[in-house]
Amino acid sequence: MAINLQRSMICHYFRRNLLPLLSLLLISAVASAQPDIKFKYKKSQLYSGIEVGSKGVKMSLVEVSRDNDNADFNILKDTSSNTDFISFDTETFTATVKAFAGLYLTAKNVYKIPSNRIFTVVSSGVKIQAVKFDKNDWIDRMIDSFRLAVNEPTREVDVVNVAEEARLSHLGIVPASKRYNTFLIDIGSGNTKGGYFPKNNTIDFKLFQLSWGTKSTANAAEKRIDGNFTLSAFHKQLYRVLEGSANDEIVYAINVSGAYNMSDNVAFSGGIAWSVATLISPDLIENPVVPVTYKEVEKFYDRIYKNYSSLSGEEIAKGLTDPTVNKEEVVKKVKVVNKVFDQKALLAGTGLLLKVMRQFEGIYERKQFYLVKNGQVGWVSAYVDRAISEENSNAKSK
Amino acid sequence: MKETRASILLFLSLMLFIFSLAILSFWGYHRYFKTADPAQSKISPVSKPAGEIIDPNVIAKRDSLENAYNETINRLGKKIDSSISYADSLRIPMNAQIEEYARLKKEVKELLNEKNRLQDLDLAKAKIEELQIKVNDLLAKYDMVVAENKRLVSVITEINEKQEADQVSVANVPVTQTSFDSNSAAEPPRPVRQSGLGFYSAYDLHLSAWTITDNKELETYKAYQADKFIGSFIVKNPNPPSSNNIEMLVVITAPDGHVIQKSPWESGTFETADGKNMIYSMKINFDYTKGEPKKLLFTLKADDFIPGTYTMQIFHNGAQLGKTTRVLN
Repeated sequence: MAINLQRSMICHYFRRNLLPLLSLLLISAVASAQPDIKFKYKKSQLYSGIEVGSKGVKMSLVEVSRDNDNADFNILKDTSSNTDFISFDTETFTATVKAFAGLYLTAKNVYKIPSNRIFTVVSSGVKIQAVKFDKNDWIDRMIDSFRLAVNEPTREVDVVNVAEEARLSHLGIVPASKRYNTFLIDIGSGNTKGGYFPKNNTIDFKLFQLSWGTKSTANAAEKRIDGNFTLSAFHKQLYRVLEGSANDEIVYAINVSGAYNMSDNVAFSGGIAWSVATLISPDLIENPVVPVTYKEVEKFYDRIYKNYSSLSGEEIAKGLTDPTVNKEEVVKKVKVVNKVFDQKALLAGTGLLLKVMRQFEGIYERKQFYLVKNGQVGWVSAYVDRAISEENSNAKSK
Repeated sequence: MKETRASILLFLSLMLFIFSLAILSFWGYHRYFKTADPAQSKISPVSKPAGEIIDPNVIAKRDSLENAYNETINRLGKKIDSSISYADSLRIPMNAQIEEYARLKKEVKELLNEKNRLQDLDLAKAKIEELQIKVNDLLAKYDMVVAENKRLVSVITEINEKQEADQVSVANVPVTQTSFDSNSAAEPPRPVRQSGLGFYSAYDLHLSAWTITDNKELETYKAYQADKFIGSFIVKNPNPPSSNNIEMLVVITAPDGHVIQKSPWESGTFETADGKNMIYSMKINFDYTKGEPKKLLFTLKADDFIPGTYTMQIFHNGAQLGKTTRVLN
């Protein structure tokens, strides 16, 4: 009875909301050719990853270039639709399915990406909230509605858990040559997660988690402010937050992880890593990863507080030393960073980043730190690896 | 009647004598020139047309090649002698390269001989191009040797001044040293001193381009053939710091000014001693404890090599330790 009700609900929903959308997409697909995409690599393939996250649905078009054991990926397009699925109401459900199907059909019909090169997942954040509020069936219904909308009843839509998400990100971001000696830490807005492969295989993954993220750190500092909303007051309270409860948790979590002894490299991903990398090394604007030192980030933290105006697009472009770097591109990308992170958010995120880095800055042994800009699509790269392996094994069996 | 017959016979015998003399002269001339260049006659059995030797195009080509040859060897000039003495004092093996240069020079000179043909001039042209590359190499090495020499002089001066002014020893913390920019006409900068003892110096810098054909690696001077650079240098610190793990940064700049990066995970930026940000191609980490010369090698691949001069610089703690160049045609 419940199943029949669910089916009829999906059919009703499909007729009412998706048919117009599908017609629109069909027309647009026929009318327009593949949009002009500027590829970075000489030999590469186009893939797409569509992820239903807590905030909304995100699509990334990724160009993947493979050279022996290394896969380099370049984000060609990154678009999202805020649907707020974790509210678990009819309106957000409809918006999520519409966005999910719309982005999938855009990738398939507009960008001409074959369906076996489009990966669709539901993130761990959604799964955690669904378990918390006993709404697991909403995820299943949303996936069924999506399959019906795109007319692919057998389409795979993985619902990944935290450990799997961190593992896939590691596999996708860190090159094979650094896989077993790199600790990957994803600093999100509300929390931090990551881990490493302790046993020289890609199955055993040591997960690392913190309840502190960029936004939660900034919020904790804001809460301590008593009426004085100046930058100096925020800076002072941020110091207290980072030296207090955040510090205790960070020191404990890193000690327990055992990552210090097992890793030569520590790579950071997430929004703050992307923004610091963009602002700290504008000469490497095209690079997906930027190596940094603790001292560089420490100096940058002071610069945010004391000389924030030097972090505008125009000011950063003035300091470029490489004559071959595209200044306009630098200005454009720095402006995006300035839009996403204001001075306080940048201070909070960089402060948290420094706090974690400090745990790896030994007197006798220094780790190499990296800031990863495109961490959000790391999982797509891992799926690409898996898809290629499957293609190869199928070819061999034939 | 009898007299008339005798005169005719005499005239005929005279004619025969003259004719035989002419044949003998022709035979002698032919024999002389044929035996004068037996190797050439073996290679080219067809006799050389006389017109080709005095062809104005050949003469013009020979003249232009002679000019190119003279210009090339004049670029090196007297620097060779001083290079040998500097290199000898620094124990840098330059003799083999100079011998190679001398051999090539002799070959080109022989090929530019007036009797030679158009084909020889083509060969001479190729040899002159090779000679130009050798000269560029030697000049780069000369610059490096001069810079190294000046740097060492400044280090000695610095140490002497330090010893005179201050007899108090300080903590054993690494000290870096800025080297003299060989292409600059300015005086070499004074060493950048942080604190403590221990100078790192880099010398015997080499940068060569290699092509990979049929799984074989061959050195090349042609940009379109190049697949990768192989570089090497020797570092030394008579009084190494307590930390074993030393980091050297390699910067390879292409003719268009961009720094070639090994990979996004290997390349980054750093701040030079004078406060400028610079991209490095790659890092070399190594253990150093004994104060002995240590040779470091690296490989750097690139997608495209463009013709021109590539510069290799070595940095430690933001200070430049050495510089060399490589020309690709």
